[in-house]
Amino acid sequence: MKTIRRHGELLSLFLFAFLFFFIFKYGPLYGVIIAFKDFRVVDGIMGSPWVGLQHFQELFTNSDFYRLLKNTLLLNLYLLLFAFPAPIILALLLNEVRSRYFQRFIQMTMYLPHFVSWVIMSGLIIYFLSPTTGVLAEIVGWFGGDPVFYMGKKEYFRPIVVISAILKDLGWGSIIYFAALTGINPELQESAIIDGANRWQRMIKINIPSIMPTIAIMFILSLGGFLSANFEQIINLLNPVTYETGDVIDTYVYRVGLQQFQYSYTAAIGLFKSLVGLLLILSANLLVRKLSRGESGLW
Amino acid sequence: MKAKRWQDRIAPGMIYFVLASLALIVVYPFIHVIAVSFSGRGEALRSGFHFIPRDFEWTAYRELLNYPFIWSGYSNTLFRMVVGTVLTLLVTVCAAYPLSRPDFPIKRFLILLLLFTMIFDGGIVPSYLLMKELHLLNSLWVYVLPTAANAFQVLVMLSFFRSIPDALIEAARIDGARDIRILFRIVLPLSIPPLVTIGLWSMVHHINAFMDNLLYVTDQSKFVLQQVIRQILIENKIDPFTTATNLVPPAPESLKMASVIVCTLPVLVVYPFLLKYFEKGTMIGSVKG
Repeated sequence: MKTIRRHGELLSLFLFAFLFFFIFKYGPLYGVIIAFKDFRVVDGIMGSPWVGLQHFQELFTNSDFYRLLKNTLLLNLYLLLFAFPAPIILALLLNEVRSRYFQRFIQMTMYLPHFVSWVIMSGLIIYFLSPTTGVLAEIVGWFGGDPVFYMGKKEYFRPIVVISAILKDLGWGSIIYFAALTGINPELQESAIIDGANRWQRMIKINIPSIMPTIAIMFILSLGGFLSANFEQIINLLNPVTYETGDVIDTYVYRVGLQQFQYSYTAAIGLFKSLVGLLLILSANLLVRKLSRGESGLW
Repeated sequence: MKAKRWQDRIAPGMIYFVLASLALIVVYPFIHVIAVSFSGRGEALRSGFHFIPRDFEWTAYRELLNYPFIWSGYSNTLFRMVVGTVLTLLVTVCAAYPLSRPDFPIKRFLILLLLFTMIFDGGIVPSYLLMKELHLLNSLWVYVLPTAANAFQVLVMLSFFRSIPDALIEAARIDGARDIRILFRIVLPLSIPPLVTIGLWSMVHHINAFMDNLLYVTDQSKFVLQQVIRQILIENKIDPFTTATNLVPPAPESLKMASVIVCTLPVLVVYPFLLKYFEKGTMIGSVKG
């Protein structure tokens, strides 16, 4: 009682804010139970009969599921391999540029795509890759190649997603690394120059180790959205021809769950995905803490 | 010695070349889009590079601006930008300030509850059912209420509040001020930079968001601008413009490119302003929560 009186105002502020988290972040967890039920809209979440793990058994025997899992994992793995290091490389390159004006100009242009929505970005990609009006077909033509319908070829889907994801957030992602690089003590660089270290050696021995803690944090944070990342991008780029390589768990759940009303089955897939994602981020955090002997990590 | 000279000249040259090409890849599409959106039919359908509009025409823009859903889209997007941003800031401050006070009860547990929402989500279907139960489907409120709860932003705000000297707050308390008064009179005036940053994050999110529209809203008069443009640009629904009463419809390409401009113009207008605050803001965000 005493705490309530003492912190009355603070408590009411916090309760107001927490209500939003409780309803919109914890609320869906209640709906998750339909993954273990045979959900019918007329019966509601509570009234629908329990079916135990039936949907999960169905899932693991369905070949669709393995295709989705493979696409989701592969796409995210490629993004981690290529799209995660790209901003680091850009920051390292920008750091080598002597002219402040050029540096500024590159930064300002490279931030721009971050502020453009995926609707626009994807629309432009589809347009520029079109075999009839596209610019890429023109460039390929200069080298004697034939125009290809890139968006309609399943083998091009993953590269297109990875490259467009890189282009969109390359500049924006580099801000944090660039700031970390400018924070390096200049005396370190000077003494390395006196010792005869060249540009490349300084980059490997000084710059990269100095921004390692930042890289570690960003790595864990990027795993936080692992498996659900890039839904906005993929749903705009995907078409039935590229389902085989591009259909990921989220796009499937949206299509089959919300458009074909298979709520329980797709809720089970969604739950599986969320659990795998949770496991990944927890183990990544553990790994980073082990490697840095408890100095890095999110918590 | 000779090898070093060579390396010192080639390496910077290559760095400049790579960076300049990247900038070109980003800038060229904008030039192309503007050129095609203003070009006449024949020119717009021509393949290859476009630098300046030829056979200048703006039928594409006229058609778009006569399309009623563009305007409802603009007004719905404006609604979610204004209401959504204000609500986000309110919720963020109300969650972060109590947690920043050292004597607030069960602080650690509450922060853990927030952290958990960052790494686990119920999924698309359960969220959809929740919105349905709350009667938020096909309502403009579905755009602004769920996004107000953002744990990352609370952590950013929290780490800023913690950096405000305790002595200031204690002094006010001794003078008899209560918590809410302290928050509005002392803490918030000192917190303009993170408030601006989070406000801008939220605004950009609301300008560009379309997923909630796709998932929860089917009534076209409640579509946000992005979703209206998405129908034209991605789903190729251009018959409202070609089967209308006009005798010379614009080329679909011009129409699409004009829709890109109509859609990105709001962001481009505030871009210089964004740049000024955003870079600093990302650094505030880098403070460990």
